[in-house]
Amino acid sequence: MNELFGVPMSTILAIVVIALIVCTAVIVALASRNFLLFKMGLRNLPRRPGQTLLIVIGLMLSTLIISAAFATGDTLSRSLRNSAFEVTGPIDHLILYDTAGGRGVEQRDAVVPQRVADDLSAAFADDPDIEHFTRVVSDTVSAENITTSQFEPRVSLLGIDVAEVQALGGIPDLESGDIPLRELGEGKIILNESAAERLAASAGDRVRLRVLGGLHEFTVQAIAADTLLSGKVDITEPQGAVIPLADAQTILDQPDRLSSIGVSVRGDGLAGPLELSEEVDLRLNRFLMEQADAEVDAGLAPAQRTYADAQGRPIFESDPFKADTVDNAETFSSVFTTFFLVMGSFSIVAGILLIFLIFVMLAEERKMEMGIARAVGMQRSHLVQSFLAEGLAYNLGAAIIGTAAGIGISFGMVAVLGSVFGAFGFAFTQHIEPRSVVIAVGISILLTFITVVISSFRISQLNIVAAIRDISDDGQHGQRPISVLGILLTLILIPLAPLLVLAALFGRKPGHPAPLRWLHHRVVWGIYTTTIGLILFAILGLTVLLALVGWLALSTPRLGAAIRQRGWGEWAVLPTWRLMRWRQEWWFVLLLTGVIGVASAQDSESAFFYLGGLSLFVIGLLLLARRFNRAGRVAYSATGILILFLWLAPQTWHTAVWGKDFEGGVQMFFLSGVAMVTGATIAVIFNLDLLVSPLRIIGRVFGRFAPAVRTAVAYPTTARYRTGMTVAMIAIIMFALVVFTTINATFSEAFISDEAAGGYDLLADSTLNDDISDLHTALEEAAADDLAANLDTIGRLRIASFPGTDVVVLNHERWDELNTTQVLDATGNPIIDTPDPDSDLAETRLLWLTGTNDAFLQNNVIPLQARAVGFETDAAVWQALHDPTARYGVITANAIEADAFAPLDDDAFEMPAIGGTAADRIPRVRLELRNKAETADITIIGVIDQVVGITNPAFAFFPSLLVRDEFVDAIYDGADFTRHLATVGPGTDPLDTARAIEATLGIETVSIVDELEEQQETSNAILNLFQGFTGLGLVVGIAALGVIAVRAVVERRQQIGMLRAVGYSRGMVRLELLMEMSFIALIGIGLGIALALSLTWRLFEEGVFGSTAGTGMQVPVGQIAIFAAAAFLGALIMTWLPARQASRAPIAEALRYE
Amino acid sequence: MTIMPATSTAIVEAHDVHKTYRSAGAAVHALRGVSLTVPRGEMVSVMGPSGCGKTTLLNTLAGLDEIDSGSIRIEGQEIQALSDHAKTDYRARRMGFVFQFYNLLPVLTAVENVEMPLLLSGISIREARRRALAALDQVHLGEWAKHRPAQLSGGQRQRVTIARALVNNPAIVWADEPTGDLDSANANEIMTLIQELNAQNAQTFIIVTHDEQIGARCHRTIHMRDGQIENETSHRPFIPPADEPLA
Repeated sequence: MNELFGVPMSTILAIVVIALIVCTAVIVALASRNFLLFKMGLRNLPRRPGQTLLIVIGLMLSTLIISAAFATGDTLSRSLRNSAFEVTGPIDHLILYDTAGGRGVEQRDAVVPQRVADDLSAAFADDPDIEHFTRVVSDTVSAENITTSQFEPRVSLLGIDVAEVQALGGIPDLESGDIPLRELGEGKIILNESAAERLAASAGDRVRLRVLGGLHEFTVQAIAADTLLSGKVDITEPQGAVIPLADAQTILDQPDRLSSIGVSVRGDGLAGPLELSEEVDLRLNRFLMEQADAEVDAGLAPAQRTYADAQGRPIFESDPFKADTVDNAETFSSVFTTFFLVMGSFSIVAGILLIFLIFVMLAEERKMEMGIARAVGMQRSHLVQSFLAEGLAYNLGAAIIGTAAGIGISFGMVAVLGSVFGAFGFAFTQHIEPRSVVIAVGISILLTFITVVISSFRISQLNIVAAIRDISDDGQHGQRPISVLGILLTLILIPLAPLLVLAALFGRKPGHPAPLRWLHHRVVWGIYTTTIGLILFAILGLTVLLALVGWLALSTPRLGAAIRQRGWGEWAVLPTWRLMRWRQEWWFVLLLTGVIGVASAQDSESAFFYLGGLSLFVIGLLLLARRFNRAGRVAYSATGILILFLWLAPQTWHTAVWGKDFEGGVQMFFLSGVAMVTGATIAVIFNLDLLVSPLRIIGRVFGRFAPAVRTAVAYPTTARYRTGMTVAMIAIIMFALVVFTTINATFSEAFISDEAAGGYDLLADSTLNDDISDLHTALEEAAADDLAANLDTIGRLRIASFPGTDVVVLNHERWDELNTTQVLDATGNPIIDTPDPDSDLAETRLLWLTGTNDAFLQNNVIPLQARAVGFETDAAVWQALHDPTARYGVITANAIEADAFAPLDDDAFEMPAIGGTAADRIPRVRLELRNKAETADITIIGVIDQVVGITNPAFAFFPSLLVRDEFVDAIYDGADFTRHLATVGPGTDPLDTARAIEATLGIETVSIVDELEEQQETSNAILNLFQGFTGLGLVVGIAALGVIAVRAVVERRQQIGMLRAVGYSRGMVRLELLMEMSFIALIGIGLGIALALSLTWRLFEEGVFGSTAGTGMQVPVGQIAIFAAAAFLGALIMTWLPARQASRAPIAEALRYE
Repeated sequence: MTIMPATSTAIVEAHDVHKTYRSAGAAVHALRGVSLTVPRGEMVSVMGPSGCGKTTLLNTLAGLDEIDSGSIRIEGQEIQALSDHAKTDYRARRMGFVFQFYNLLPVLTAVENVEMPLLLSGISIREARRRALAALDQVHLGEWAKHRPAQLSGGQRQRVTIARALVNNPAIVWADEPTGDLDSANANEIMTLIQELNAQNAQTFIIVTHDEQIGARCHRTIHMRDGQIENETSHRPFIPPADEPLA
């Protein structure tokens, strides 16, 4: 794996290593100054081995998650890369017909003339980097093994020049040997492994191919490994067959024509040619362009040209096939790793909270000893150092165990992925780069280091008297002093904030007066940069300046001695630090960051900056209230509720306020989880007493349990900080699991819904090679009357997939400006004409034009995601398509720009107002189609549901425009292949029927429902893997409860002894601890589920995930209950042992405990 | 199993009690054949140098710790014959405890701490609250009922402990260094309070202390050394209460 989040791994490695070196240097420097402090920290480890183990387990989770993601990514990367090298073999580039040129030729004419191969061979004969050119002709044919009677409707037939391929090293057989290609003569055929499997073929079998209506018989010479040169041109349909070039050209009726010319580049090893790829590609394309230019310059008529089209553009291009395949493998593994890390980030956050929690509890335990240590002269920094040493010891242990466990878990993940992708011919071999291990360990150590430093710093702020006397810290601080920085910041913020908000609000809306726009562009950004610059200058400049002055003063013998004598030495070293009392002024940082985030979102329309900024601003206000000791229950509750409101409010509300349509990607999943859990936890923790009221009633009703209930409630309500942390930890993991599971369940339901199947049971494709225009008639002619009688309704789609067919659409970036002029009015009248397709406002895209017959239009129940104004129902849209004169079209959702969570198609373009439910409306949009010299307008009146467009085998992978049959004939002189959609009679199995049709007619036939179920199983397997990975975080939450329970038993030993002395039974001690932890766990679980379902519901309602094919959001109650039960049981189990231990502790011993 | 109060005037009877702790391979003989009798209503102090076995004696007599041999009878009932559950139940109803370091639950308010033994004895929440407030009034802390221990001074905390120890109207109150963590003024105030309560309620107090002045305010002081009772000193005559034993 070479990239993560778009950043090269080598860069990440460098940053991590530098950061680690800095950390190590800091630690070594601190340890060398006072090793005793380090020893003090380290000696805490063996004091409680059980607790140490629990802490290490809790801490190792983030390492485990990062290393598991990296190890899986490396394995995928290495395996897919190797697979790419194996499949492409010696072919590095392909010379192909350039289909993007808008020339409108039929697919079988999109070929490369033999002459081009001859020219290339001559021109590059002395090229130092190009080794060979290999001529290839290919097409998809159906095949039947006469010997075994097995049939395969789609086999890629490849014609090769035996001598050329021999020179490249031949075609490998299944035992890594080479097939003797010299023996591949007339009537001989080589099958690749996939084709041989499908046809149950072995060497010597007789095979019959159906090509362009004719039958051709061959003897199988050998079975080859699946490679490009043995016909594996598509990973989803790898079956291929090889015959000599001349024979292939004859039976495919392509004399002197090639499908492509393979180019082999010199270079050492597998990756050697890749290094030359870019350069060779340039040279090849330059050659092709020069030839085209030469033809134009020579004044050749278009019909006489080989290299240039009518417009003088080059017809052929060099495609860096191998480099692209290897890049795709890298991208695929990088996307997987990124997604694993995004899912794992919830667990990493939970892990960071756990580290905080652990240190807060350790500090609580050692409060008195720390107070005494401070009283006898230990500096705050000494406490930090001591905790740092302890934290790092845990950290190192956790990093080592976590990395090992992560790599172990990656084996399981790779096994699952292997079973899923094995169907596509991928085999994964475990692999992990040392670089990934270093990064995983390094990131984990750094994360823990930073967390430990911050938490130690917080701990070191303890009040000495309060710590020694073991009394409350509240009120020990008195009024916080007003700092110079505080005054400065207040003076800046008071005029700045409203100004920024005003400018941000009114500065960029189109149509607003110029002064407001000027204010936005000049003032807002001016203020941002000036303010940030001023702050940086103030802090850095002043620090450097004063430190320099201080250092100079201290260096002067007499002055230095005087300064030290007065105890000002420390002030001279870090004066700014002291002067600014920065610890009190975090509110300013948050308020300013929040304002900047919101204001910058006005330009970028980024939901991340907008909602993130607003949330920070709200928390900043809370800190400001705290700064002036005004933060009570109301302030905290209001903050929490406001944050929740911001994240759960409908998008339309935000749009109404700001006039912006804020957009976000997958990162919003993470940010929304963190923000909502933070808000909800703050609100809940400061109102725990209200939440526990029902528990108090239990105590009243069952008086016997009253003391246990009272103490079980009292501890978590008193220790808000640690309760909040634990609740947040459990809630955030439950949130991620429930959101993911709910989306998964909803789409699983949608994928196998009747709507997704479109009302049909099976699908049969006939190509030009076996053209069947009427499935019913074809079956009757093949004497399969019973089979024909079993098919109830048959619809037909005729798909014109001509390369070069252009669909002119509007350039989406300029849509805003064109919107008012291009959209037709409600009566369908265009407001102005279609713009010039060659203008910069238009862009060309490839669509598959699909003709529909009456039967299809009448019988399909395919749901529409959006309809044009004036069409009230889906049926009205399909009905309107009947009229050939209206030139209406329906487009699939995968042909338009999809939403954030839906797969993007390369050929997607954007239309306005797409997304949401079927009730949505789209304005009529006119597209212009061009074919050769002709043009034709189509008015789009509907968008086929996204789920159907992705999953239904009738449309999947084909960005399609559905029109009347007659239209296809009028524009394109017929279709490339015909797709028959049929329903089967009651009680008939679609799969059996599909197999019978396939065997009878030799055309590929599939059961739609079985295909959908198969897809669902595949996607479920992957989603379950992600789900399981996210679920690892629950271990953190449960470990946290275990840590709390263990700590509670240690901390309260004396109290438990006292309770036992005054009459608490052992059972009651156990009950109290179990109730306490259950209470915390249940709040976390409930909060996570409630937040997840609220957010998911809102997102589905707003159509953020696109359509659900009418199924609506599905709440997987069973799965959620299992997660909740697992979390709760885990919490109980983790609490049971310490509770048991507590209840069994000898009372007298417990009372003596200090 | 529930112990019914005996009618015998001796509320605590210990005979030849032995207790040995084993720590890091070494055996520490904390009690070596201790025998003593305490009549109902008497205030007895136990004194002696550190490590002589005072706290161990108190813990074993109260049933908080097990003994190796000998016998202890509280209100006529062999304490070591009781199950843990029965002992716990008995402590909740018939005993009160005052510790040097107060041992209050920091997460509960003063009144909630005081009402804990009542709730454990099955008293209704309303009644428990009424009696707990009354007990706090008795120790002059009525106005501090809603405060948590961390918000109280050492003397106040110890008075909350005493209120907790007495709220259940126990037959015996065990006090381990009740004034050990207090200044002399507070210590004096606490002892005055204990003496008053002893006089008013005829409750038996067994107080472990280092302080001779505290010891002198009891009816009798038992001096211990090396796990044995060395001698006894009577400070003032003990007149057994005329009333029936407390129920």
